[in-house]
Amino acid sequence: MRAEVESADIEVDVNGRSLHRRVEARMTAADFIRDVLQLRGTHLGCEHGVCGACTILLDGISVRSCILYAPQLDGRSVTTVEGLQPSPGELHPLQAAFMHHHGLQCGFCTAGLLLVALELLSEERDVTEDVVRDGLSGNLCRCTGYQGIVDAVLEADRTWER
Amino acid sequence: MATPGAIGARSLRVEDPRLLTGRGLYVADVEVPGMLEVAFVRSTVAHAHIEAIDRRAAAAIDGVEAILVAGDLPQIWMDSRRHPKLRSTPQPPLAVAKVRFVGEAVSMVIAKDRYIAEDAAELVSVLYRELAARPDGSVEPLFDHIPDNVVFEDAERYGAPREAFDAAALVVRKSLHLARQSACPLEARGCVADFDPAGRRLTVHASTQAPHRLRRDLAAVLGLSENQIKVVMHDVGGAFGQKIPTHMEEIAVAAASMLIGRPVRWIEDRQENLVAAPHSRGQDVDLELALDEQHRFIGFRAHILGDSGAYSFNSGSCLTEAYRTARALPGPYDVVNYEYDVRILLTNRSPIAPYRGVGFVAAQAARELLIDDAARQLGIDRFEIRRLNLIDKAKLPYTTCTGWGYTEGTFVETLDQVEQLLGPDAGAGAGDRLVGFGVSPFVEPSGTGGQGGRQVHGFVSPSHDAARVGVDPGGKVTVSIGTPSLGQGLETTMAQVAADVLDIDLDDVAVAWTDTSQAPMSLTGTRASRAAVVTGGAVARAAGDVRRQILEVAAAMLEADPLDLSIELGQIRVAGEGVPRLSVSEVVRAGFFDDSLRDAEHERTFEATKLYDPPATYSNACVAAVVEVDPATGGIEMRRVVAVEDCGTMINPMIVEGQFIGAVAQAIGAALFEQIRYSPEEQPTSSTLMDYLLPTSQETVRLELHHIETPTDLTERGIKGMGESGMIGTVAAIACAVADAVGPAASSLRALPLLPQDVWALLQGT
Amino acid sequence: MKPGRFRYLAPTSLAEAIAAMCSNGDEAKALAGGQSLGPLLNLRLASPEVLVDLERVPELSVPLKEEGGSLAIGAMTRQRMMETSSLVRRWSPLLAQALPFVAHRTIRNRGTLGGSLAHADPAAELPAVAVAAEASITAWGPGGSRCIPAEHFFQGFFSTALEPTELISKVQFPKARPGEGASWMEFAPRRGDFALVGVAARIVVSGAGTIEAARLVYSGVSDAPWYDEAVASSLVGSLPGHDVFSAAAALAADSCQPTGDSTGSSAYRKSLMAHLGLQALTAAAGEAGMHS
Repeated sequence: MRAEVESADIEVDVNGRSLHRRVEARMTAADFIRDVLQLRGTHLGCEHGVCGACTILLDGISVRSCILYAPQLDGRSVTTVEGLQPSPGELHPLQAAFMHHHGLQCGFCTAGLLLVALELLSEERDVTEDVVRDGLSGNLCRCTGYQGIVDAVLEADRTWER
Repeated sequence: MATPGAIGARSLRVEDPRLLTGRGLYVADVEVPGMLEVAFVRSTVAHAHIEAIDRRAAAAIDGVEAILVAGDLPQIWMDSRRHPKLRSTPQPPLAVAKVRFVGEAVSMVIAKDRYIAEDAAELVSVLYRELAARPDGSVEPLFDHIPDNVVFEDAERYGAPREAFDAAALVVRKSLHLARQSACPLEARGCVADFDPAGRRLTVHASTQAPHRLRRDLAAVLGLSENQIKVVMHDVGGAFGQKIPTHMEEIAVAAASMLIGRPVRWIEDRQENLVAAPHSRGQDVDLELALDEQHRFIGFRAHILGDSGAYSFNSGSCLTEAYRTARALPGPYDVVNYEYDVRILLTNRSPIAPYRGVGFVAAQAARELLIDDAARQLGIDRFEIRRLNLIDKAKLPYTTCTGWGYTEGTFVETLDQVEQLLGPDAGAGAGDRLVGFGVSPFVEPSGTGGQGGRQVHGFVSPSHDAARVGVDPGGKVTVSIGTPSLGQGLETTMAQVAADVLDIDLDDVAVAWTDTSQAPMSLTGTRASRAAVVTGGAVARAAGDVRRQILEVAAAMLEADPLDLSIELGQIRVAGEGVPRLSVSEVVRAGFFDDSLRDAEHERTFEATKLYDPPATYSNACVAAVVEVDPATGGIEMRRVVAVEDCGTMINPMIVEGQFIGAVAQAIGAALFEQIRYSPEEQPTSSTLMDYLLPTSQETVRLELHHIETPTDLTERGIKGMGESGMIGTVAAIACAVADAVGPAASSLRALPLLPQDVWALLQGT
Repeated sequence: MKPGRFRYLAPTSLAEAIAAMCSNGDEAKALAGGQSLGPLLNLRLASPEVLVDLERVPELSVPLKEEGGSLAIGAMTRQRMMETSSLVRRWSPLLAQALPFVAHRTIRNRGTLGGSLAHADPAAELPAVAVAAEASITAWGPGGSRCIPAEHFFQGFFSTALEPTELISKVQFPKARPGEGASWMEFAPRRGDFALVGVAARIVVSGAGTIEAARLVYSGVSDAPWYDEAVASSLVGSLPGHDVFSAAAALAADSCQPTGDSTGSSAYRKSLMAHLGLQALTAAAGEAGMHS
């Protein structure tokens, strides 16, 4: 058993890079990613697990990083929005589809929606609009009315070779 | 040949790659060396005298740098003089002696990080002597000099309303309560203030809609001049009106940085945002409509009761709701007799500020519900009664009784098209579900400058923008503006305007946001459906001036008459010649580097800053909604939303549609879900997103949107604004659709949003 | 909105986990999926001194398996895993039907069965489902293990029969019997929200076509999952059918005094109870292969 302390040593793989950090136990995974790792693409919209803006992939599964604590990342692998691009100058097909379909306005919710959509499309093919709407319903967007996002996911379903 | 990507093109957004890859920079991403974090201690009671504040336990926490109360800051008050009838309700950044709403900042903890700041904030103990608080403002005065808690009162009469009502064949009446709501941008408020005590310079990074206005307000209270303050613009994670006012917290944070000489950051959390950030709506509209034998509207009469919250806020924001409702009521209808009275009460609640659609939403909802009531009573078609009373094209230009001047407008056309798109069976039932449709034609004042603002609001409200356009020796263009993009894609649309005027490839135009020391002045920022019109107009004018300079230099180089020259896709063409002889880049380079081309009398900097102050213009649209009501649960499902809109020239139809669709989603929230609640003791009970319900991808519906494009002669390029349009029309359309679905219970529909239990109760007749 | 200080423990065995709970008394809080606890911590509505993370306790993460006449599910099994499990679909159709209603996919990715039951939110789906399914909850404490029938487990708002030092290790859902049908129905303002009223119905139909056993358990109407034996009794022996179901659901609504709050009055919730109860019984009977 780990020592009973207010801080923890964690080893975590983030976007393919293995990192070792000492963190305060109560630090949320979101703050760890943003403030310690300086990956500011993950945003905090509510900090109580409702809006989905802070969604990351933990071992490939979407989770809300605002209600996860940094020590819980130990031994896990994390994907954030910064880990999506195949190469620095190139957008992931899902990102490109968001752009083509005006699936973002202010961009604050976008990272979370991209990651949830990525998880959905990783598991399913030939998705319908209903499946997409259900799959995205845990993530709030205040700008777009979701239509462009839904269309983007439907397009990425066709364009993303997977 | 049209310039690719210029005005009218569905250009993809320039800002998207940055935002899609996590490279946006929002205020919470700003880090300044040595920066400290703030947590506010906020009032837990609605109305009380502050007897004592004990900071000792909190100050003992390791990592706490300072705990400030009002007495530690300079004596600062924000107040509004926007309207002569608005009574003064000065608001301090930290409560002085008295608190007036739950959430009002009482003290601020400044610590190493937000975790520690919150630890300490919990330990700051405030002793209150409580005063009564009631939502009708009837008990304790919030301010001694306003014993009746009436912060604003106004009444107007146009035409001869009394005579009209006396002569009416039918008078219908509707009372409608609109709940408080929150704009609830996904990024809450926040700022970083960094004061350099040696140089006496203040840098403020803010999530704001109006950077120059923030600078002006900060200067007014902090003892600095505007050129000592730099407000830095960043990506803004949504705003919708909530980030127009200068917030007390921004002033407190700046004052704190000046006091302790360290950079200080405040990032609002969601609970603060729902409780303490300004709310919107909060109105009771009592409306009467008089009709003659031919079913013509011959008079409106409105009694409007507004809820201002505890302060009239620094922009006099309570006016943006109730007062604007009064001014907006006639809308697109031909009515000459109208009278209204407006009373706005101080309440022990968070102050009211703008939210997309401001008072227009309330006016539209009350009016359209009432028109439907009239149609039902008369047994006539709801399209027909509207068609009969809308301002017909033949009557244009038309000035409404409240002074709104329509030079163009497609009120009847949009209605006709919506009727056609909706089809004859829109209200047809489905099994045990009740189905109904609602239709809502409207106008939206947009892009008003100073005189325009006077026409729309009835009081002077200067509001113009300047923009700077420059071409560098590489032939590339930089546009500088002072209106931040809150998601509207101004980085794209403003480039489209410049590309169009200069006839240069869109890829060769960049839009720069900098800070208030560099950006041309935008007097009031990105708000009120104005950026496309006002900033866009300024960009067009500045680009036009630069174009002239380029052509003059080109003319000198080619020994031609400038009037014979034009730019096409970045190339200079001489009239009658097939092949361009020079590129813009060659001209500008020569203009800079070839001394012989310089002309002492005509300085050519290839740069221009121009101001634009357009008159009022009005977009119009018609929205229809089809809903399905489950009588067993009262649950409402959106089936369709159909809209035909006309906002004049569209700079980028993709962005216009995005704005409309997004506003429709917010309208679905406003009509069916969103409500800021207070307990009888005025304790807010909607403090999380589990209580304040925003629409998701499941509650929204694919919008069927069509355009009519009627450019106005009144603005540069015929552009009119439309950012609020989907909100204004759709709340009313949904309310009317539900009223249609519930049949005879419709006349009892008196409040928005239409929550399931209320709809169920309506159907029970309770 | 940052949590207060806590110490974090990550025991790697059940014995260590129980020891951790014991040695920290009331100050320890078990962390399962954290989807309810996390918000409470961040809002500082819960301020435990110690968080005992159960994620690395192998005994709590035993895979889904058939155990006697039951489906045994480890306490730390993620809701999403149950939702996609063919074993759950086959052996506990009620659980399978209710799971998609639990919040949203991303929450179910982390949320656990044991966590949801121990949290005991009266508006949540899984407590009502556990009671309706006659699930049995195994808890381990310093003195060993005990089995608690779900109907005795929930004792009030966020309150259960668990001792502060006890942890749920697994939950056994009796396998659906031949002739059994079940259904979950709920009404929530938005899909994924806590329901205003939810209801789990189970019906067992005998070879003779009469109702042999029935259960109708509601969420959102009381301080714990709510049911009334009289409702079940009213069904037993009858032939399934609209009138019988309607009467039973009305009886449930009549017998209950639902909590009224700003999202729904007591009368409204009663009406939802009758409506959803009828729907759930009808669907359950349909599942049982009976067409009434």
